[in-house]
Amino acid sequence: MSPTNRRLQLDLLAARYLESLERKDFSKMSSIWQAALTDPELEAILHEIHAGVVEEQTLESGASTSAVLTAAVEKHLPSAEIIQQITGPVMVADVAEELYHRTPDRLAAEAHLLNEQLRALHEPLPSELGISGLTTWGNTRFGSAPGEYWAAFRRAAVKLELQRAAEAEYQMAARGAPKSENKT
Amino acid sequence: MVPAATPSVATASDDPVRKTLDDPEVQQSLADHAIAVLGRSPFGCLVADRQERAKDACQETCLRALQKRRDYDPARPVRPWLHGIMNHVLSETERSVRRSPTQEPTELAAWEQLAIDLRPNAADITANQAVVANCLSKLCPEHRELLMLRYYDVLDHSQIAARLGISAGNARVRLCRALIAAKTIAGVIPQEDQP
Repeated sequence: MSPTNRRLQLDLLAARYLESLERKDFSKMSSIWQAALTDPELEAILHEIHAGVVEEQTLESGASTSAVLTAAVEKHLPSAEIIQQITGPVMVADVAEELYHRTPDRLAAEAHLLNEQLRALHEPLPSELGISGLTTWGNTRFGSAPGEYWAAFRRAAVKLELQRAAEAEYQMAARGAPKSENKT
Repeated sequence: MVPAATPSVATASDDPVRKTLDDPEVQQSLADHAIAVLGRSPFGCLVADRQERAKDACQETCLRALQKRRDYDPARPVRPWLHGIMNHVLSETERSVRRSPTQEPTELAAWEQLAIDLRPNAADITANQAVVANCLSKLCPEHRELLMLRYYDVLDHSQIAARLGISAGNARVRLCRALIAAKTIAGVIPQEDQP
């Protein structure tokens, strides 16, 4: 069997195992474990699937707890604002979302259409945030758009970058300082 | 009166089953197996006491493994044997909840069809190319992207995981889901598109 055919065979066995696991089809699962008795690579894949499913369930369980808490706060403390901790780089979608909520005046209709498109684009901002670099990037990726849109986009992007950096700095500063042994 | 001699209990050092059961990594993998199966109810929602149920299943598996250790064939690896026992324990646990399902023959045919469609040389055959393209076009973008990364860009799981910013286990599970979705489509396409 060629390595690529072997790879495909293992992938398909893995998929059948996950399907059986989710349907709780134990006889199919048993037959795959039987095959794993003589195939260490398959065994490792089955362990990987368990770890992946447990990770998914853990994330799901955290998300449902968070949703219950959010719903409770929104219901009983309507004036409270829920601030979600955002980590990682600023995404194009984050900037477009910011522009959607805090739209600058006099933006053309086509700029609004483009912004709507960018709200779904979950990829990091281009490394070049100068107005000319940004406009070139935008025009190459999404066709020509009004210059004032890219100027507004740039302002919002810089603002979010600074906000994210300040939040990260605050988190660092909020850590307890190590105790000094040479106190005077 | 002299009591009848009882078979001596092997110590952990010379008993591969006991030795493996004492390995924390094996204990964790058995726990993951149990949580993965018992973590979700038959209705799809998460089960709150999954840790407790998984712990019970692990205890039962260890007990049965120790009871059956004379049946164990030392020529074979212990871990898959233990997972086979765990599978029986989980099956019994779940049997009380609902009847065990079996794969339909149509499902088996769909898996075989997918194996043919995704064969590495399949893309060179015009007829199969059309089937694969048709299958891919019917998948959601996330599943399509995963299959493209795996079978067109020929990336392994760690590379896919790095590309998508997720763990290797998560990448494996997502790829499995993409293949399951492709299998469903592969099982449907012949009836839809062929005379």
